[in-house]
Amino acid sequence: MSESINKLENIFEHHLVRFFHILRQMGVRVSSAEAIDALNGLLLTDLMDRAMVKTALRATLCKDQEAQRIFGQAFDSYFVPWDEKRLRLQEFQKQKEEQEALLEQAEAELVFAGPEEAGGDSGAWEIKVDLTDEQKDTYTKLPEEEKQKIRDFLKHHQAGNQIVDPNDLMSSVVRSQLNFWKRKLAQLEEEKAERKKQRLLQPRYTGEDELDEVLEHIVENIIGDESILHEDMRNIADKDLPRVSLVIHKLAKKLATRISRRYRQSQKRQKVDLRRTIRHNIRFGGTMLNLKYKTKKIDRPKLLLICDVSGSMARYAAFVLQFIYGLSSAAQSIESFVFAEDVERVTPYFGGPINFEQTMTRVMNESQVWGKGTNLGESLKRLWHRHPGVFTGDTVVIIVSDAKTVAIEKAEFYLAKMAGKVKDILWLNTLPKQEWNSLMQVRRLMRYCRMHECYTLAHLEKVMRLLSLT
Amino acid sequence: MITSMEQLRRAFEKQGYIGEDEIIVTVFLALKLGKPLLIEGAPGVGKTEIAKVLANIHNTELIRLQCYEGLDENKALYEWNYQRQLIRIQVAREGQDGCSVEDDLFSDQYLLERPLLKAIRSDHVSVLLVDEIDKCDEEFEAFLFEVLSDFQVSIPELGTLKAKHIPIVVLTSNGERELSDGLKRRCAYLYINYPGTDKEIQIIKTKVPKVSERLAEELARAMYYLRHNVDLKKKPSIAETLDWARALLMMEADRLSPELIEQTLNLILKNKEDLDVFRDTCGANKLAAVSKHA
Repeated sequence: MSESINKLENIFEHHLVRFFHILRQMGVRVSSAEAIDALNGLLLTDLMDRAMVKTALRATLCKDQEAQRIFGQAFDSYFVPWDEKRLRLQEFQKQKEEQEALLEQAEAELVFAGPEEAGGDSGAWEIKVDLTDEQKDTYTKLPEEEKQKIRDFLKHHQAGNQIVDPNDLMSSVVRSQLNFWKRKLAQLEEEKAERKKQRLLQPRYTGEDELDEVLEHIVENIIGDESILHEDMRNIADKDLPRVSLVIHKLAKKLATRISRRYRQSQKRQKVDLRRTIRHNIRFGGTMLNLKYKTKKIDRPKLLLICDVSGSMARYAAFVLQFIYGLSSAAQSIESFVFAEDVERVTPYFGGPINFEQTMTRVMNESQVWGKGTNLGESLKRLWHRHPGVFTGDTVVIIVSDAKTVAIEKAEFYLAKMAGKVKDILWLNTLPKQEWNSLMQVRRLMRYCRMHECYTLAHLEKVMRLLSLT
Repeated sequence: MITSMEQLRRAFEKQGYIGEDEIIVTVFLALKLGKPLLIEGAPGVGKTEIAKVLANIHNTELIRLQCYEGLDENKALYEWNYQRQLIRIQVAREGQDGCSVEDDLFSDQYLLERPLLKAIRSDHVSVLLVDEIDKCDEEFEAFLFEVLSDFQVSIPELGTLKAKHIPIVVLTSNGERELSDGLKRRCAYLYINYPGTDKEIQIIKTKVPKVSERLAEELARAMYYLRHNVDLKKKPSIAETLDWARALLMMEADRLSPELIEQTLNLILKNKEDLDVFRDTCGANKLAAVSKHA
């Protein structure tokens, strides 16, 4: 009897530990102390009451709303009847096998013939193109004619060409093509759901089918729970703009107060005001009964907003303007500029009594740079020389841009100059983080600032959270 | 002494607090595990009220520490009564008192207890409410986190003071800023949302018993609609629902009519922008209409 109870306890603990593991894989920080709290909490609850168990685990393991949202889905996905779990696992394994078969097929198709002499007596030999699984996955998703083009390229440039290192050259051409297609597919409407999945939750898969299946299930179901917070800002419909405006205004207000709070802290020290203390205590015969203090004058930080309104950012225009508008109404001391090929000061358009729609129409109609190409280097240079007064030791610069620019050396040069003069530079990048590595401009510019992925309101909120922790 | 969740639920109800199951389970766990309870949620959903109810249930005092920007240890923990110490020195100098001044100066009678020290030195289990912790600075939060870890403080002149009874700690936050992981890790966490219609009807009937069943239902539905369908900057809280109910009771209202809504609108919407949004997108007629349908 006691043996079976022990066995049951082991199964129970085993399941809980695996559940904690799943939460961690989903990005919820569960410490050992919290895991122990959860176990102790469960001892106080009726284990047959599912709702109570869920609440007890949630109260001890998840300490913010986002974590609780993930927890809710994780709990519902993990603690399911055995039959359902088995069916889901079988389905997952089937899909995995199909996917593997597709990748193998891609690998088999993407080969080219090496030089004959290297193949020895048997003549030409096949070389596999060196690709990552992600690139192979992109290949499997291509339309048949595009696949055929890549295969034709490989066939056309095979044996006989005097190439020093054929593998490297051929592979890099195919890789570039596949990377191009990856980006292009991501822009297509049918890939929208896939892209959302990638950006919302990126669990670290364990390699163990049983756990990975649950992780996949959580991701799938959380996508169904989309809110405006997780929508890519370029896809937000006009009818949702008032809601977006409200959220951005709130976030901008938070950002403005947080930045000012951080600076205020460093100057909080109070000092005894001797002159006033002596004067006040004369009535007590010189005994210092009441001390008078003086506080340093608190300078609120200055915000300098530099927003990209070039062609590549056109679809984010509403987001950018909403952000400037929100921040201008929340913070007092703010200078705003927009740039593309050149830079323009737009501060006078914002902060006034006119509403967002009117402001947006005025800026877009009167701007000379709207929708042009991006030259960050030239824009920063002109900003630096025309408006030197905006760069001070207590200025926080916020740049909103996808960093796709020409004249990268000049941009680097002036960004470095700015970094040396201002308090901080925050870069809100509208490109997904996974694309940063493939863009040389991003890699080079991020050395001089703190760059954050920011194309949804959820990202913007995350940036605020990070700011409060630094 | 609370020994079961059911007992806690009854005790809450006796105090007029209508809590969802989630609230009862989480509060119970926090009490039993000896953890501080961190409550987040929009203003006016009943976060602070939980601490008051707990103090009443345990028949103990509620020690409140209201957080604000710039709050420091002196205002939260203890301070020496500087003026009194000075007078003591003056008296001693004039030779009217011969005892050792220095020993006296740092004794209990010159110590000004602030909420944290008061909770630590309390002779019985007290309820310590740290209200709106998100408003204090990060450095104070770190200090608080240390105090809540060990429930002991060091006062250089008096030595280390350890809590005689671990207080029941309730922290509330409006989510104005993210709290540190360390602090959150040590707490049981509860997020309180606005109540559903049924729960709000129960709350109205408990707190304003003279309100008719029908009016309570209409009020709850109207509030639910306002919170979820009108883009208000400040959503009306439960306290505002109760104020509204009391006002309508005084006006001897039995049903929610467009005229009554117009006359009492200022009790639930408290800034011009929200009033404008309400009039543009909803209006008293519509609100009265939606309040009639379940």
